[in-house]
Amino acid sequence: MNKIIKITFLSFFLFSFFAEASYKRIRSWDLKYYKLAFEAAKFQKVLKIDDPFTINSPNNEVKQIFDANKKMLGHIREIFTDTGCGGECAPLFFTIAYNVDGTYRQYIVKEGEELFKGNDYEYFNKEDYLRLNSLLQNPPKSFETLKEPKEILSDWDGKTGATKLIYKSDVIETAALTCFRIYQYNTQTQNFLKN
Amino acid sequence: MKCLSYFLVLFLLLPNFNFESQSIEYDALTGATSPGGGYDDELIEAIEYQYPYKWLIDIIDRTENLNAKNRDGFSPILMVIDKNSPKRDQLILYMLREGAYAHTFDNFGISALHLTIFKNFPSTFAILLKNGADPDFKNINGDTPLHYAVHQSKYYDDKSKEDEKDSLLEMIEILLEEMEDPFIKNAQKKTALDLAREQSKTTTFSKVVYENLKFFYDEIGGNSQ
Repeated sequence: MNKIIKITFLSFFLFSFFAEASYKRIRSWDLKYYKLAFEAAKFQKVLKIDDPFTINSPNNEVKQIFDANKKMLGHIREIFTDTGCGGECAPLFFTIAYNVDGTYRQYIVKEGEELFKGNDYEYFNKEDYLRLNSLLQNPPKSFETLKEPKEILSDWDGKTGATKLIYKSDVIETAALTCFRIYQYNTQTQNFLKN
Repeated sequence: MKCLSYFLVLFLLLPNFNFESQSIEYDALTGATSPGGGYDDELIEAIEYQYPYKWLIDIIDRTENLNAKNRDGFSPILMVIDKNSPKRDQLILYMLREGAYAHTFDNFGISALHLTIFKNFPSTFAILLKNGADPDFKNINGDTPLHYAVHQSKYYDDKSKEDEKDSLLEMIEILLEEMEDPFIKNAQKKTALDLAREQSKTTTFSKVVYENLKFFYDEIGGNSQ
């Protein structure tokens, strides 16, 4: 009987030790950006998530964000992908914050992760980011039937193309592929977190 | 007879001479080679002359060997860190995905990790470590990145930015967690703690670094003396 009590205590101790150990302090270089979405952010835990969109993906993590008292504040997902044109596509880096319940919270623009549009790599302006934010908050219905980013375009030459008329109002001009790729990850992450 | 033996010795030694113009250096650890028929390749030059990001991406796409080094032993990743290219972390992540090695070093054994510590680029440091850079790697003086970080700490004084000091401390903390052997000695037979102790009177920050290191070494039960 004594042995059983000892083992139970030991297992409980080990469990609580490892449960505690999985909280990691958010490093300063990430914290300054995470604070844009979660002012009180202090600790993080990592959840594993699949990435069906990028080959050899480094995007297999969603971070749970906690405050100093280990109260959960929400989630962050950092993505490194491409615009999804299947060939030599422009690399795409972005970071999105989600609420505790998995709903979209905020698009975070990290230094170096500024988005581009058009073939001349013109930086997104403030209006573009606002537009992107509203697209992620209220995803366009027209995107639901699309499977691949390039379906959004006509006159596809392997790298670029003109946005089809039916999608024009749903995307940022000359950044249709970027918008759709971000939409794909946003939807997948929300489904994962909600389930 | 004497003359013949000189010739024989010369004949035997000749193949061991390294003719720089003919050799293609091969780095057994990273598999990186210097480009045949010349040293500087297009990508390294483009990074050196700060080409725009879009051009760099195009050049990376058409570069066959992203681990090729220039005459100083600089690979594209080392060059991006050294030149602090715009979108530095993104370029490095992109090159890593396209086949570049995170563990890369120049002719003096200065690895990408050493360089990020020198430049105080903590986010780049974290990316490299996550992608396989060796935290125990020694440069030609036998200094690991941890030795290097301790060396660097003496250049941080009261006028230095607080966030840079914090970053250096965080990098030291991560190195201590990730290193297989934090007790490695350099060519002068000194551990990082020995170095920290020596320079602890240099600046206030050096003292902080020493106290942090001492705490860690005591924690893991090593001989901190």
